[in-house]
Amino acid sequence: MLLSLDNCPVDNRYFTLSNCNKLYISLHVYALSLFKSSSGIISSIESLLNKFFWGGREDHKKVSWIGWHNVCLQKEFGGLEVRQLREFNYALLGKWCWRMLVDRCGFWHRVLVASYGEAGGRLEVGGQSCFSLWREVAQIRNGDSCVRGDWFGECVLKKVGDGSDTLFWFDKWLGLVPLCVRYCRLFDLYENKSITVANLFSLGVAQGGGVEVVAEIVGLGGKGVRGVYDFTA
Amino acid sequence: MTLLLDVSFHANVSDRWVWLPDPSGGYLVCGAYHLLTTKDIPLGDSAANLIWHNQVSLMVSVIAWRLLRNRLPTKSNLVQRGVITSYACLCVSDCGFKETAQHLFLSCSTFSTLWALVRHWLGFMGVNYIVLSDHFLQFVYSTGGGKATRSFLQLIWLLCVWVLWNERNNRLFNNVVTPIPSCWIK
Repeated sequence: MLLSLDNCPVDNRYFTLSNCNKLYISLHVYALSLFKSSSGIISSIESLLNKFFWGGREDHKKVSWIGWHNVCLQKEFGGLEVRQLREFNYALLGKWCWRMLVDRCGFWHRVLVASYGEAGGRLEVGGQSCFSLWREVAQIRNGDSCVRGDWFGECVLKKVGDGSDTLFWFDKWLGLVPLCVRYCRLFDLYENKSITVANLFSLGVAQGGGVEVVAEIVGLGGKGVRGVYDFTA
Repeated sequence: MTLLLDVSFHANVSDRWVWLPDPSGGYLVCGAYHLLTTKDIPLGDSAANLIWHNQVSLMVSVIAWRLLRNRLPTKSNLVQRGVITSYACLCVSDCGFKETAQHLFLSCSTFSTLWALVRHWLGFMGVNYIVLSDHFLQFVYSTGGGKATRSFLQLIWLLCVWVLWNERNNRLFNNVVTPIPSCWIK
């Protein structure tokens, strides 16, 4: 186990509150930013910290007057703000999701693209053969993690400038969900799935103006399936 | 699809990802952690926020935190948890009452004289409320003073709680009795 209580000054539990956070900082930031801890490991670390905080020892538990969950709450919720490991782990892994979006030119990203491939502007890193870090990160990105559902996806948005770096269907740039989800049947029929916003609009402009963009989409790139008007209304 | 008609472009501005909780700063681990750990609306109970004071050491704040939650090891709490028998639950000052947090800190005839002394020293009137968190709020806000006064009163309240709890422990475990007025002078 990483922590041992034997050398700790257990008789002064108040001193230990600030130590709890210091221990976290020194031990966990690196590990938690590269691996998702299993809930078993997290609960055993929390159990040790709990014993430590209430003045016990590794093999001797004292009365926990207040549940560890409440000790960890933020101050404005009536807690002491000791760090919650599981959420902290997710926040650190979420940084990788963010880097996947904004640091696409980075060397690490190009290596990942080369080894795992890319589809719809996103790294294809969810597979079983993938390194565990990228698999966990993909779970957070796709909203499959068990903490707070799709917390990451709900908080990012593409802000369109000239539209040349935004994928029309896959990026979340208009509304709360990507257009490929919102208009999934239309998306299934559309041919050039990874078209950028700028390209799509320039197709429309070439045909005469803003309204033509809509015609371009619902006309499905010249396929002429007018029936789709029904579900875009 | 009418929403596409409202889209406008800015030439020479590249597309960028925005982190909605902090649009200008982008993703920060501490911001995301805060997002993940914020679950409900904050407590309306502002007494819980008053336990934090930058001139008070952490251990005093933790004692006050436990006190406001009634989780100090007072005798009545120990009886409830079966640590001691109900015969041993009387207040250490021989006043004949059960030692609850409320009794020890507010209504005990021996210990609560500290509050009267402190009020006399500060030069304002007041009564001891029945509920500890109300007492804390009343003590801090009743004078209607500015921020500095409130902060000072907050400090005094926290120190009083600390003094009372230590005096109780000294009497109980070390058999050392300090009269309450000299506790205050200390």
